[in-house]
Amino acid sequence: MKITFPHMGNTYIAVKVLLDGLGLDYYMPPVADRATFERGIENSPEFMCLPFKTIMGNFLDGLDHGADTILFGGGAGQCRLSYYGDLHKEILHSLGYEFNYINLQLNHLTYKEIMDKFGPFIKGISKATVVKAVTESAWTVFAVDGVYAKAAHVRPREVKHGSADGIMQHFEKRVRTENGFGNIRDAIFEAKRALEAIELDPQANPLKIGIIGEIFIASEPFCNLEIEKKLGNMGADVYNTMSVSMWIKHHFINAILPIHGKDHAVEAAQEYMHIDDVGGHGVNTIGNAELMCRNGLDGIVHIYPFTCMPEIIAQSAFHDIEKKYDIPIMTLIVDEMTAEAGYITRLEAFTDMLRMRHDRQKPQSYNVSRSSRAG
Amino acid sequence: MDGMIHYVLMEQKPEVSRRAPNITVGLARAMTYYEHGRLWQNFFTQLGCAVCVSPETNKRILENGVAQCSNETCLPVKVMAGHVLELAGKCDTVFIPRYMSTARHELCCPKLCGLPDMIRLNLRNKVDITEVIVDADKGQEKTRKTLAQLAEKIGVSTKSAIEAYEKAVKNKLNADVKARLAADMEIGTLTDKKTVAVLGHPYMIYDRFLSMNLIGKLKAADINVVTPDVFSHHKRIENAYPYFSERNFYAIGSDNLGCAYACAKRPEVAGIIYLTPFACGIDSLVTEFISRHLKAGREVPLMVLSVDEHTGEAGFDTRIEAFLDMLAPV
Repeated sequence: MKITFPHMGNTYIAVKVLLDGLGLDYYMPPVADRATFERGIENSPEFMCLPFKTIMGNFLDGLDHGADTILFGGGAGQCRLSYYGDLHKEILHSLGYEFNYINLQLNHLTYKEIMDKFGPFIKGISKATVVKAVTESAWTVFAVDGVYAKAAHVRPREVKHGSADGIMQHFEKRVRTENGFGNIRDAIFEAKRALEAIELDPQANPLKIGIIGEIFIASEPFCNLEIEKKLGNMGADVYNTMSVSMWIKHHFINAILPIHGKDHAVEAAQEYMHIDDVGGHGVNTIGNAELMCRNGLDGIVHIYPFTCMPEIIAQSAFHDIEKKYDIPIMTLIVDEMTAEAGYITRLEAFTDMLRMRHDRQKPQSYNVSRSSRAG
Repeated sequence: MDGMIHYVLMEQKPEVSRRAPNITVGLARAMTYYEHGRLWQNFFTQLGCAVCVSPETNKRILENGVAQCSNETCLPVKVMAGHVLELAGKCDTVFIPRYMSTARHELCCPKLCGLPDMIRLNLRNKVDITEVIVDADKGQEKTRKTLAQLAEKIGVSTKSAIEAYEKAVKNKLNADVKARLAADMEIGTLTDKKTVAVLGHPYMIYDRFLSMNLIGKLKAADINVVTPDVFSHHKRIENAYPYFSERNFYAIGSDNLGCAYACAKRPEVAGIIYLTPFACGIDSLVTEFISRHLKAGREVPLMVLSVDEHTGEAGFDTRIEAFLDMLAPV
């Protein structure tokens, strides 16, 4: 039995730790690979959203490299993610692939469901090993997000331009090739230490830009064309609300623990939406925009894949939020046709505009929020 | 805003007139009107409200709607915004139901779940909007809460609002078409004649403007036309591969899947036309399932016609003609 799994941002690091810890055989599709991406697009319906197509590419690559089991997480909600599995299976079967498909129901994930679906894999593995592997994997998720957050903090402040990028490049290369928790933990600590050692400019006064939107696109650098890195190098402190650790916390940890905290984002969105769920993260997107505005960010970038239903709904609220706080929100919609040059131009124009507002100190007298909505 | 309107209404209508609210409620002839318009009309009539329905979609309504919404919004929602604007000034409040789910294990499109908010936000509060949550999958709690708010707003008792809902709407959401649809909507009948099934969202196929009178054009070509409503809800679910019975799926998706496969079993159905608004999320899944599954059985020709506000009628007609020419005689 050989497992394959799809990519979403940096989850692969934690999944590797988990599968290595359990001693299972697996194949990881290459990260950010154009060829697999193109294959996914060729074999997907035109108007399905970009995450579906990207994941399709990963599966095709995995099955071609001898995998016979697919590990995936779906659900049963209003977002199309819930029905990805059925269509993936249908398409892959019609292409002649035979495989075992494990679809975790992320909406109401329970300990029992996990054990039922993973039971056959961990047969013969001691309970202590399983607990250890899961704990190490959970630690990795948060530690890796910590590294990326640190890099986002360093980028707009570093004295020598490109220092953080160099370290992150080395880190990503290491975690892709190394195996086992020990080695990956070393790579994480190495990157953290190196990032902390970078000389920062005490005079730096970076812009504060928030990222909200659809989680797959917001957390997958290949799909969002490395938006965090690009904005960071344009001199902005980037706060990405849609991190993988948030997602894991939401779906796995909250589902298993009996205590449920209040979702602040959903609460903040009630002013605009009179309902707590419209599928996906639509309501969270509005709530996060509201919360970020209350916290006084300079600007917000909203990013989602073309045809994403919940995010189109969320977009309707931005006119009111922009007007209320006088903070610009730019919506970026990506699909497989997105060209990098035009994308960079838009990000540059947005950061330049925010910089001008920032320097004027009196943003109230310059209402430019409408022009930022172009496109 | 809601509070203010409420205050004004209550001032005009003190306790004495509680029985007869003397309020005009606007219903937009768009989106769910093509499924349950009559049910809501009965609901408000029972509560003693006057009901004002917007006219059939026309160019002005479409253009007004398009001007109000973001580019990415789908065509039916843009048209909905146009209809609601059309009702401004003609009624005290526009009623937009919030459909979360209309049957057990069925979900509604996210746009329907967020429709009252989307319209209110896109129209920048130009029109007062009243909503009722319909959630048959998760239970009646939220429905009761919103019915109580509606009752207070229009000045009737909560009890009568709940009673009217249960009588006029609750159990009729998936009822026979005669109870739900207006008489002039053509669902067709299955006969031995050469038949084309027209699939899609009810608000696409029954709206003569958005569908460019697709049903009328097929009839003029001497073709018998059926829509998903020709089959009972039960029959559609039974056929809705791969989302039978206990599996959650979009209500509209199951309807079309079920109809497509039920049609595939009938030799008189010579072809299927699926009318979809450009970039519809649900249709992207459903049309893929249909086209793949049809290939596995009797190969019924399927044409997916995608329309948006820029679609020209001449090209649309050419495609229909070409499709009809291609159909083999039964």
